[in-house]
Amino acid sequence: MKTMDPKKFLENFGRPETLWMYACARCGECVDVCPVFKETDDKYTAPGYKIKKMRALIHKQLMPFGGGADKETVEKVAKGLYECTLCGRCWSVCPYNYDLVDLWEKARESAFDNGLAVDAHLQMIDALKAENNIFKMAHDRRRKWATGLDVPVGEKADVVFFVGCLMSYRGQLKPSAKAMATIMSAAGEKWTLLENEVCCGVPMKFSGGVESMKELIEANVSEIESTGAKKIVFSCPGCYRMFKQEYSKLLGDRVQLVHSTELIDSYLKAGKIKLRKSDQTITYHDPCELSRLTGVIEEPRNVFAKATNSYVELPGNKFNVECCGGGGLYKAADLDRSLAIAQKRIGQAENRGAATLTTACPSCYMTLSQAARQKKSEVKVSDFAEVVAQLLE
Amino acid sequence: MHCHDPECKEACPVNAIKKFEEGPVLIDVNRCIGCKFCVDACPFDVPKFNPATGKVDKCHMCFDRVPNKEPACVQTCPTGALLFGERQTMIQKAMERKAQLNGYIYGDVDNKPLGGTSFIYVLKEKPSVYGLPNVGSTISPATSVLRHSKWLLIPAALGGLMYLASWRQRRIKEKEE
Amino acid sequence: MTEDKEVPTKKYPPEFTITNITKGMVRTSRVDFLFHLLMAILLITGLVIDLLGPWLGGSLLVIRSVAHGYVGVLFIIVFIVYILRIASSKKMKMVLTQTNTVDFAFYIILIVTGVMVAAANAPWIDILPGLAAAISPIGAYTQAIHVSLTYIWVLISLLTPSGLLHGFACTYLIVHFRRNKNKSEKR
Repeated sequence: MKTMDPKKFLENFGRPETLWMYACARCGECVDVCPVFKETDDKYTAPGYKIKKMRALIHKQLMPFGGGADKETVEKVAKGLYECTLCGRCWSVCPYNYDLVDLWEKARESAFDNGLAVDAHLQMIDALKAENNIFKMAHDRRRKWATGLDVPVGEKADVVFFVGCLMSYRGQLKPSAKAMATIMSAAGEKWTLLENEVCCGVPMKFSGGVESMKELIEANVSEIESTGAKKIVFSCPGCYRMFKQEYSKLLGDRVQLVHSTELIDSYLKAGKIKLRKSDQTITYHDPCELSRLTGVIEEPRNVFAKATNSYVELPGNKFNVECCGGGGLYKAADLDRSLAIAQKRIGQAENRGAATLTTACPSCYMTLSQAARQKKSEVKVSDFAEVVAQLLE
Repeated sequence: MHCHDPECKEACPVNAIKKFEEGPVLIDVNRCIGCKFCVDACPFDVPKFNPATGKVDKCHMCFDRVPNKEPACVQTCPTGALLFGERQTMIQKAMERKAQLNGYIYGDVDNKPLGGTSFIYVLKEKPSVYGLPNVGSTISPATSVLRHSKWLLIPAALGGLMYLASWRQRRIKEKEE
Repeated sequence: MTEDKEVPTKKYPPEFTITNITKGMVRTSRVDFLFHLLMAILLITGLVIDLLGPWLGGSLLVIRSVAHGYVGVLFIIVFIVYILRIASSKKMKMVLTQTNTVDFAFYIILIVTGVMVAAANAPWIDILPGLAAAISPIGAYTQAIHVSLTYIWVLISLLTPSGLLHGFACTYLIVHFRRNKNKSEKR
């Protein structure tokens, strides 16, 4: 068990982070938009307030005769750090354009090193160490979703489909993994699954335990390189962003990283697949990781323009998307509030008169569908690939 | 008034006020920025701010006339109440006149406001009766604060350096790990 | 629920440039931006007058009357609006620190003494003739307070994480990250 030392909290902050603490404009814009703060009304969940407290802690370390930070504040701040969806809504309004998601992740690293991590996160990391997935399910069941489908595995191919833990193990999501496989086969793509796919490591990054992340990264990289792939397809924006941030350092420019929405849009543009137009009212929830943090905004909309006659936008969309509440492992830290945020989102979809609420992220799908059930909502939550696969000609 | 240690000179941020050996305290109009620091610093209320020009004016002891003629005020005074001359001569005259009047002297002789004013009043009553202020021989604390507060930048810079030092230490530690 | 502000799409990871930051500040709050801009002008011109006065001499007249005087009047107006904005905003009260409050107290005293010094100057003596007369009796210490308090503020604000340290951090970051960006472009 790691011990807590208030003097060491936030010691991993380098020059930019430390300076940003002081440079923070204190405008409070982030406080207004934070989905978690709106729900909890607890000061320590407000981004601006966290920065204020973190600055005070850093200042005490920096000041020549400052003394140490007090234990209580550190614990409160760490708790607040984990009560966050890492959706980056705060970043989107920051007048200084400061990369707050990176800051929260760094701060969580420090909290983790000081033994302040949430228990659920620690269990998740134990599961990852044992079975290479976050659910502590047997590793050999990872490809079970593909039963009944003729799926190429571990072959030499140009395109690799990186499924991800949620899609592989969660019953509700297995159809959408299948849908994705169907679409790729329908487009005549020569693709493959990885023989020994393991978790991409993003849960570790979110919880702060980045040390154990390296093994997973190395395992995945060697697997991918053995297939000689030129393109990796992701269904999960979490994995997608993780690859863009961490794996691209190792993979370099040789491998192109695409999300399923981008891939399907390119298929439609090239005429590789064709879609029937449905009359359903479809709306789309931008996953934060995909739209705001990696910039895939127009592609899913291009697809919907061809897939449905009535497409409606949710309020708080595209770059300013409001989080579903399931990001950043917030669900593990506080399930009820996370679902309360998701219910708000479902309510917005209802108000817009949508029959189907699609999303391109398995985590958003899980959270939203759970909230829809809880709310007994008429809105059907479905995955992006699933909707497209149903409309395939 | 043309003090020996003029307080207005200390207050001026642009060094527009000069004290000359011959006596006069002059304001360099080209240098004056009209901040009025001298106006409030002067205990005798001598420099006057002119809103029209945005600058400060004061008596310049008619420095352009003096070697040849008396200052204009002395020349024009109909009753000869003003006298102008060498310092020692003037002090001598003042002492004589004081003895005649059995009065008081304000200025360069007994009490020397700001090291002597180069302007001597011989008075029948106490100076305070005529509204002449009781001024010490050195400049007031307000003006020295005004003049020397900029040295606070040194501790500020030192404090900043201490930050940098402890930050650097932190950075070095970070690199070692 | 508050209506969405129109936020332009930003690149991720974000770029730190003075243009981006200025845009962001203007978008967030114009009053805030003006407050910072005018305060920086006043602080810099004030320091220039007091520190470089002996060398720059009469050329400072324009700086004193325009950049420190008229800008000062604008600043007073903006500052009042700014303070009202803070007082009416829960979120800003939450993120501002105690040291920021101390800063505001300093600004208020500086504004009051500044007005006292400037009351006798050209346009104001005509517009508000009573003002100069009303505050002249307490005039003896005003400049001393106005100048020395600025230096005291510099000292305090640098040693506590307050306004000036915030300003220095911003300046450093803008300069530093722009240099970094050039490096990455070369690579």
